[in-house]
This record gives sequence, structure tokens and C-alpha cells, in this order.
Amino acid sequence: MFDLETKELQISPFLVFFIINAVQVGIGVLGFQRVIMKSAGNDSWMVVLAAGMMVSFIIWLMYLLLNRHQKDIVQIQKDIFGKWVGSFISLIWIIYWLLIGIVTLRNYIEIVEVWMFPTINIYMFSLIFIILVYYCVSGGFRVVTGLSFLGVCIPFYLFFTFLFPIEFAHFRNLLPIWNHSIKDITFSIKDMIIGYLGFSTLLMYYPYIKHPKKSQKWAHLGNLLTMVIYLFILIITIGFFSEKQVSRQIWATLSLWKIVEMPFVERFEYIGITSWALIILPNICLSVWASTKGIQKIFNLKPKRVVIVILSILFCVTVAVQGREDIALLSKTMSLIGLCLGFIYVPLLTLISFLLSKMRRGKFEKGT
Amino acid sequence: MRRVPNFLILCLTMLLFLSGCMNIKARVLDDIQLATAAGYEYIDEDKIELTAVFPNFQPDKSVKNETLVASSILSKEVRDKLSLQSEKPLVSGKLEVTLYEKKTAERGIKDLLDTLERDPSVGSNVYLAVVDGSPKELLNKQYGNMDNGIFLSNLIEQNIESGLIHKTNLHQFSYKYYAEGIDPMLPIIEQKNGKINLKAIGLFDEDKLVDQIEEKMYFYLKILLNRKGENDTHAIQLGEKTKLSIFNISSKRKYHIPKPMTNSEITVKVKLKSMIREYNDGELTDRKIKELEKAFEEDIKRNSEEMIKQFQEKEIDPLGIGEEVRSRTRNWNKEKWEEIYPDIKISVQVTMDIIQSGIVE
Amino acid sequence: MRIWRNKKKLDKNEKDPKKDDSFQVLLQQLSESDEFTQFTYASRSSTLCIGYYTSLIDTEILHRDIMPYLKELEVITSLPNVIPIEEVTLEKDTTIIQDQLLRGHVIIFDVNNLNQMGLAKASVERTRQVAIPEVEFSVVGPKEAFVESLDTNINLVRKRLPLPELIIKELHIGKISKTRVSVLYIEGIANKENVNTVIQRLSELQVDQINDSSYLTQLIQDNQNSPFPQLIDTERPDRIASVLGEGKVAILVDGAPHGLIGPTTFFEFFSAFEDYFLNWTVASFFRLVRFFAVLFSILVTPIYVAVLTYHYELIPKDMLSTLITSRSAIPLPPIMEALVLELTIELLREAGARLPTKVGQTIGIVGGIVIGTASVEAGLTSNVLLIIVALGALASFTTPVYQMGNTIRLIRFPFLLMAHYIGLLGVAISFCFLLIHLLRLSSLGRPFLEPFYPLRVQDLKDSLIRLPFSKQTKRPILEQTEDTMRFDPMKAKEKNDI
Repeated sequence: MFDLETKELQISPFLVFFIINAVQVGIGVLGFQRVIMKSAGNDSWMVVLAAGMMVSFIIWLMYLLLNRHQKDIVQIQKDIFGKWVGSFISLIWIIYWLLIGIVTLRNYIEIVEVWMFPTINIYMFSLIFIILVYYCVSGGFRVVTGLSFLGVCIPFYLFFTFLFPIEFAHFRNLLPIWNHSIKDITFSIKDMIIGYLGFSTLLMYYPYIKHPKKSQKWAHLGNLLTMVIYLFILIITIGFFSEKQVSRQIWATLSLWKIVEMPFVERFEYIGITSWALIILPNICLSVWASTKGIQKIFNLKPKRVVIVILSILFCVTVAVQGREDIALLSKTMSLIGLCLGFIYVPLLTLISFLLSKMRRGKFEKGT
Repeated sequence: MRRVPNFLILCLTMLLFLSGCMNIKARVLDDIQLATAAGYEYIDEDKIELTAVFPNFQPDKSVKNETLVASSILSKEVRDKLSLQSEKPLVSGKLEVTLYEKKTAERGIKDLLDTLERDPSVGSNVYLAVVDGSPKELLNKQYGNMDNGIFLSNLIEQNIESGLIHKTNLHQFSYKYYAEGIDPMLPIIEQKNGKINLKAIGLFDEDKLVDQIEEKMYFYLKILLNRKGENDTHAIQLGEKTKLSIFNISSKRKYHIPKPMTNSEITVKVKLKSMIREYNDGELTDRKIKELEKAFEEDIKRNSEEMIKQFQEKEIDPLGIGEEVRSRTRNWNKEKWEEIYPDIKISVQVTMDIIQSGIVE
Repeated sequence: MRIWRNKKKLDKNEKDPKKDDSFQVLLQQLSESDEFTQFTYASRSSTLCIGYYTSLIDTEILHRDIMPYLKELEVITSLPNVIPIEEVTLEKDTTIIQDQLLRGHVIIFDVNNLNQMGLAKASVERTRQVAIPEVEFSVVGPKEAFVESLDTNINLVRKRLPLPELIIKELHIGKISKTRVSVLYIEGIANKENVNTVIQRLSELQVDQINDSSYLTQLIQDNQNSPFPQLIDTERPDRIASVLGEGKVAILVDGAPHGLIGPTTFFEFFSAFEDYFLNWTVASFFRLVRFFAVLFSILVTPIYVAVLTYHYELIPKDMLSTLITSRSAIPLPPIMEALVLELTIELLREAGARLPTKVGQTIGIVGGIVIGTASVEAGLTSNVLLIIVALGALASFTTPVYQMGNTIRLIRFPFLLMAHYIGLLGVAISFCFLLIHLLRLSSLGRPFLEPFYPLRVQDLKDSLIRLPFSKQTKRPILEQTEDTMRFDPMKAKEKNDI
């Protein structure tokens, strides 16, 4: 099941659209508003746009790097930094991807605890989730992609339910534009980018894409969809809540759903949380898959054992982290590593790769 | 070989479930008491008396209301005390209406709202209302064959839908409470001879009830409150004999603020399209209609401006004029606005267009 | 594993006597069965011995077409020229002789010359007539269904596809049953890979008996532990003819009134063949209805249990009194209530299925009306749940493929249990599990959830909806056909009405 990237295991380039979107849209959508509106207020929509564009730029850089090497990040780093250093940096990537999985799962469990079942046995609950993840990941990358695809398509109906709060929205709240200084806005961009993280798994599944060069536009479109989703929810949030009210809502998106009333169902947030299981599952699966693949590439181990080890770590950390502060700390660590890797290391690596290839070519020319 | 572990996993999962240690408390619908309405009243300095109503559905489809009363210093704690009196655990997930006694509302209801906002099981669609009189008494009565909470919520909902009062619920109240430049309003109800009457609209400064406007002013409040409206009805008497009633097909309200955050005049432009519902002074000619339009414009202008004056005097802003100004100024300063607000001249311009006069001339 | 090992030992024992290829031994062995008739007949030049299984041959053929001509027989080698039957052969190999005798041949040999035996086919086909399809009945369209005879079935298909390219490969499967299994495909349309997969899986089968095509479904499908069938079985020759044209491979089994089709997709199980007889708008509507019926049938009872057990907040205020009143007198928790009712429905179905039609109907009425009403009145179940469960059961019966309908009814139970344990989240988790399972499935190596995943827009036009025939110019991508075009769309557009 974890074979070389033969044709049968590869996926069509357009599916990258769904993978990128599935891994970005996760737990962040439920409560990103409070953080970014703290400093950017009603101008937050600009933050979402700016962050989206920056991420798009990084995706472009990644493709620059990957298209040149036609390999995954583990191999690229081995080529550039040698076996030991390269593998070490790959390990950091793997830890980061694993952290994405942990943070997503732990935050989801927290939401379930707070909103639905305060006394839920989180050992049991995360175990069930991990069994699901194992079942998915052991099916190989095709199944993970398939779940990402369905995880984007099936819960899409949820976004229509955000039209209900419009009845109570005051869209004048969006005015005046540029109410906040550029400094405030830039400051929030950092917080907003967390909502976009996870796209770096691209570095790992690149060899699994058929005609990978063609997939670049799909990756950008996937990112665009994420941006549109964030923007859509944010604009409704700004209209629906007053600024101080948002600052009190830890999960503003869920609070939006509280107003939804349909003839057959009320209190849509419960359905939202439930449906969100299908949104976060591909998220976790993809990050677990990426870290499994990475470990397996570095140490040449049997995939099945690696999955089990990775999932055990996932399980242990998830149940060990208790309380809101710890979860917040974990999320912060994850986003810090993500920011450093994505926005500092990836450009650097692209640059090094570019320089190295120039140097090698120069040497080659000199030699002849 | 690959299938064996999957099968094992399946067995394992089943085992897990059969052991049933998910540790979730079941709240089976018929084993809980659904509180549908709650009334709050301060009985002394810091003790709250909470009256909870829950329906008791009888097998013959009739509903009997039962109330529980308890008092404590924290409202959640009151709920625990209520549970002591109840045969089934009391839950607040289906709360439809919360009522506040008038004196309590005058003291401020922020602390009482906190429990509603914090509890994930309470929806945003809960209606809030102020009671002139004792909420305990109001909730103790039986109104038709219906649960009191649902009855009250239907009463308020019906009046919102038919355009008599503004939209109001828990979310709207806390929106206006937290927003800068707008103050909340809540309907005031009273109980008389076993009937409930929507008596007035209570005006809040932050979370304290400070004033109220009577039923005849609802119309002016509504057309000024919403950017777009419809469904309002209004009747006036012109001179001695002419009485007429109109129905609003659409109303549009626009603010004209030339220099925000200064003392310069703010103009509210209102455009109405109406039809005549009742008229008792002979034939309606085109000229007559023109005259009526004029008279109406006069009436609305005079009353609205008077109402706004009243708001300015009390330093409250239920119409959200501050919000209009805020969305027109960068780096809005709330304190400064509150300082200048009472002295700003606010005028209302009305354009009335009677486009239809029913099926008779 | 142990069972298999034992079987292998048995095989060895069986083979031992065969090694002794003397013909006398064979005759001895055959005549041990009382049904084997053997007699001598003196022809003009020699003494002939004639033997056959009485039950397998048509005595009329024997007496009309074989016996009268034997008198003229000079030497046994001229037998094929003398007897006016197509299938007359000369054989030496005792295994083949034995095999042919068991397939209704008559053995004729010279008592003095045991080197050559003549075999003449006089088999009798005792099958029922081609009848009206019962499982896949349709109001309009052809009313022929397969029967138990392979030759008749192939005839029914070939009649619809008069093509030399329609290839039929015959295999014999089963240690004891030696069942004839035919693989049908159209050369030049069907992908060779699919055909080879089927033939390879069939020929590698280690099994003693094949009594029906459903044995094969279970034995050769990609994931044999999945409750979902991965090959469609059908009793309609027209359906087989139609899907052969799409590039699928069909399998017909002797003795089975159902053929198998593969590769297939999940959504194809919800298309009745009748859909092709109706206008595309109507057909699409019916397909959507069927698919929603499936979702409804899987989800509705679990959602009821979840909401009533954990999520009372979700119930709108106008529905509260109905639900509470209906449940107020019931002592059982929602899960027990639902399980009892679901099991009752399953019992009714089982009872109805095992009994003759008339009695079955009565059972249905007694069960549905009497038990239903009585249990509501006795306060054992709530009437709301009764409606929900009945509707769910009704919905599960709309699935056109019987095997899939069974699966749908089965997978409701894990959903129910999960709903009881973790409420709506349990339903969501079960749903995720179901999705992953479906994603992992494949049918003859082709993805099972196609055309949704992998998304193939071209195949969507015959999945949950069915677009008009004129739009279906290309064969589905699923089968990776060699000839992708059904017909030339340009020519189709050229048609002129007079």
C-alpha cells in the first residue's frame, strides 16, 4: 500500500485543489475571528486577503522548489544538506505535521467537551478518531485524497446556513475602511496565517501528483477557496456581532449558528460541530499521512509500523494535553513552527537550491 | 493479510462501545424538565428570585404549566436549587423567554444575562422582556392550552412579524449592549386579568432600563430604526373628523451626516410608500390624497423629532445614530460622542407616497 | 486454513483411483450407481455395448436418433458418420469419457475393441421456461429473465447482440460441481485488463462447489469482508446486453438465474434498469429519490435516537409537545425502543421472505398493522418512532439491487448503536467510517465511488441522474474501454425530420 509512486497510486492534478483546501479549512474556521479582530477590528477582511495572498506566494515558491527537483522534501533536503542534516530538518517537518494533527484533534475534542458533552471520556473519543484515521491512512494516499475530496464537498452545505444570520446583520459595521493602522493589520496577519497552515504537506505528496506541474494552478485555487470561506464567514461575523461581542466569543462561528432556526431543526451549532468531524478528519489524516511518509522515507521502515507509532504518539499527546491554556500553548507552538518553516525556511531553501544549481552548473561549465 | 487487522479493528471498536465507557450523561427528552420561560426578580440587595416554568405535557395532548421558584445570589445556583424541587433534572436548552421585573431591569440585567450568554445550550433566539409587575405571578397563570414559555414567545414573535414592534432577542440585546453607539430596547409586558399585553417598549442605557415609549409611538420608532422596513401600520386623526389609517408597503431610512463628530445637524430622511386601509371622510380624490400625504409627513416629522429629543435628553440612543456616525469616522471616540450627542440637532425629513387606496375610491 | 488443508487431502484420495486408467475399472465404478444403464447390442458386424445415465439422457433421442443407426455400424470409428447427431466423438481418455457421461452423453463401444469409444450426446435439458423477471420487474420494457440453463441464458444475451465480437469464454469451476461459468465481453470495447482480471480470478478459484452466481460474487470480489457487494447481479438479459456495450464484463453461471456484472460503482446499485425505459427527466428524478431514500433509511432512526437521547435542543418548539407526548408513557430508552422496532421489521421481512406469497402478505399486514398499533397502544413504542422506522424500512426496499438493499438494512445497526453512545457525533463518525470504507473499496480494481471520487464529469451523466441517450455519446471512463465512443455525435445531430 505504501509503494513507490507508480501511476496507479497517483492522483489527478485537480484533486490538489481539494487537498489544499481540506487541510487548510479545519478547526480554525470555528474561532479565528476573535484573534484577528482583536487588533484589526472591522478591517480584518483585509487581513484575511493579505494572509491568503502571502500563503499563495509561499505555495508558488514551493512549486518552484519542487518542480526543479521533482522529489519530495525529504529527498530534496538529503540532496542539498547531506544525509544527516537533511534528515534532521526533515524530522522537524515531520514533528510539525504531526503537531498539526494533534492540535486539530485536541481542539475539536475541546469543542465537543465545551459545547456538547462536558464529561466525555476523551481517551475513548480520541481512540475512536484515531481508529478512523488509521483506517483511512492505511488505505494509502488515494483514500486520503478521496476523503479530502469528500470532506470538502459533503459539508459544503454548511456554508449556506451562514446565510441565516444575515437577517440580523448590520453590514455598516464594515465601514469605515482603514479604521486601523497598517501596523495593527500587519500584526494580525501573523495570527491569520495560522488558519491557512497545513498546506506545506504539499512538499510530501508532490510525487503523488500526476503531471505535478499542472497542479500548481489548482493549489492556488484551493488556497483561494479557503480565503473565500474565511472572508465569507468573517464578513458575516463583522455584520452580525459588535466588536466587543466578538471579543467574548471563543468560537464565533459556532455562535453564529445559534441563531439558525429551521422548521425541522433549531440550534444549528450542534449539527455544525457534528458535521465538522468530516472536515477535520481529512485534515488529521493528511498530516498523519505526511509524517508517516516522511519517517518511512528517512528510516526506510515498514509503513504499517510507522503509522501505528505515529498514531500512538498522536493519541498520547492528545490525551495528555488538558485545559484551555495547554491547548492554546500547543496551538501557539504549532503555529510558530509552521510560520518559521513556511515563511522563513521554505524561501531560504528555494534560494539555496537555486544558488546550488547555479553553482553546480557553473562548475560544470568550467569543467568543460 | 491486509484484511486481518482491519477486521480486528472492527472487533476492537465494537468491544470499546459495548463496554460503554464514553461517560456521557444521557438527557433523554422525556426524562428532563425543559424550562421554557424564566423570570428574574431581585428580592433584596443581592438575592435573585428565579421563577422557572416548564410544560407538563399530558397524555390527552393538553399542557399544564408548572412553576418552580427559588432564590440565591447566582442565577446558575438558583437552577440547582430548583432542581432540588423537581422530579427530573431541569435543563435550560429550550428556554424561549426570559422575563425581568421592572425594578430589576432598572438595576441592570447584565449579570443576569451572563449565564445565558455563557451557557452553550441556550440559543440566541431567546426573547427577553421586561415585566411590569411580578414575573412570578405572570408565569403562574395558564394562558390557553399552551406552555407559557411558548405562549409568550409566540406572542412576541407574532408582534415582530406583523410589524408592531422591532426585532428583539437575546442576540440583538447583547449586540446592542456591546456595540458602541446604539442602546438596547426590550418590550415591556404586563399581565391583566389573565391576559398578557405588550404595553410599551423599554429603553435601556447600557443594561439599565431608563425610559419607555408608549404604544402609539411604535410606528415612529420602527421606521427610524431600520434601514428598510415594511408592514407598519399607523393611524392619525386630522382635524375634527378626518381619521385615517395607513399600511406601510415599504419604508426607507437614510442618514445624512455632513460633518460627523461635530455639532452640525444630522438629517434623517425617511421615504414611505403606503396604502390607505381606512378612511372616513368622504371621497378620496387625487388632491385629497396629496393633502393627506402632507399631513402625514408633518405628523411623522413632528412626533419623530420629539421622540429623538426625548432620547437625547435621557442620553440614550436606541436608534443607533451613534453607530451611523461611527461608521463614518475613523478612530471613533466613544466618550467624545457621548459628550456631544445630547446637543446635536437631529431633524427628520419625511416623504410620503400613498400609492394605493384599496378597492374603493 | 484448516478446512482448506483437509480438502486438499480429500482431493488426493479422489485422484488415486483415476490414476488407474483402465477402462474396465471405470465401467465397474460407473455401474456401482444403479442409475447407470448398460446393455449390449448386436450390430451387423460386432457386439456393441451401450451405456448411459438414465436420468441424464433423453430416451427419445436414444431410440430415434441413435439405436436405429447402430445396426449399420461396421467399425466403431465410423460412428460419427453414421449417427445423425452433431456431437458424436471418439475418445480414449477415461477421464473425459467419465466427464462426458456425466454431462448426458451415451457411450457406445465395441466389446472386442476397447481402444476407441464413441460418445454421442443425448442429454436432456430440464429447465423451466424463460419467465418474467421477479426481482427486477419493470412495467415497461422486455419481460424476459434468465433461467437456470447457461445455454438458454447465453442465447438470450446473444440474441440482443448479434456480434461476432461478443466473446464467451467458458471455464469449469469447482472440484465437485465442475460448474460451467461463462465470461462474456465484447472484443474491441471491453478493456482487456478487466477481462483478464475476471478470468484470472475465476481460474485461480479453489472451491469445491459453485451452486449459484452469488457464490462467485463473494469469492471474486475485491474485498470479501465488505458488506457491500462489488459486483451487480441481475436477472435481466437486456441489462447484461446493455452493460456489455458499455464495456463491462459479465459472468453467467450454469444453474444460476442471475448474471454478474463488473466493474461497477456504488451508484450503479441504485439504478434500476427501468430507468432506461423512461424519459430521462423522470428517470433522473426516480434515481435521486432512490438515493435519498437510502440516506434516509440509514440515517433517520439513528438521528432520532441521538436527538432524543442527547440533543433535545435541536427539536423545534412546535415539535416538542408531539415528541414528548408520544414518548411520555414509554418506559424504554430511545435506543431500546428503536432496536425493538427495527428488529420487529427485520423479523417481519424474514418471515415474509420464507413463506409463500399469499401467507407472506398476511404476515405483512398482521405485523405491520396489528403489531404496530398494538405496541403503540400498549405504550411500548412511540407512534413517532413507529412512523420513522416504517418509513426507513420502506425506503430501504427501494434499492433496485436486492443484495445492496440487504447491506443498507444491515449498516443501520452500527449507526444506531453509535448514535446511542455518542449522539449525533456517533452518527457522524459512523458516516465517516462508511465513507472511508467506500473509498477503499474497488470493483475489479476500479474505484467504487466513481464518478464522484475520482471525479469524472463525463460519467456523472449516468450516475445519480441519467441524461438523454443523445448526450451519452461516450462510454463511461470507469471501464477504460478500448473504443470510447458509443456513436458519432456529429452524425446524430445531422438527423433531419421530414
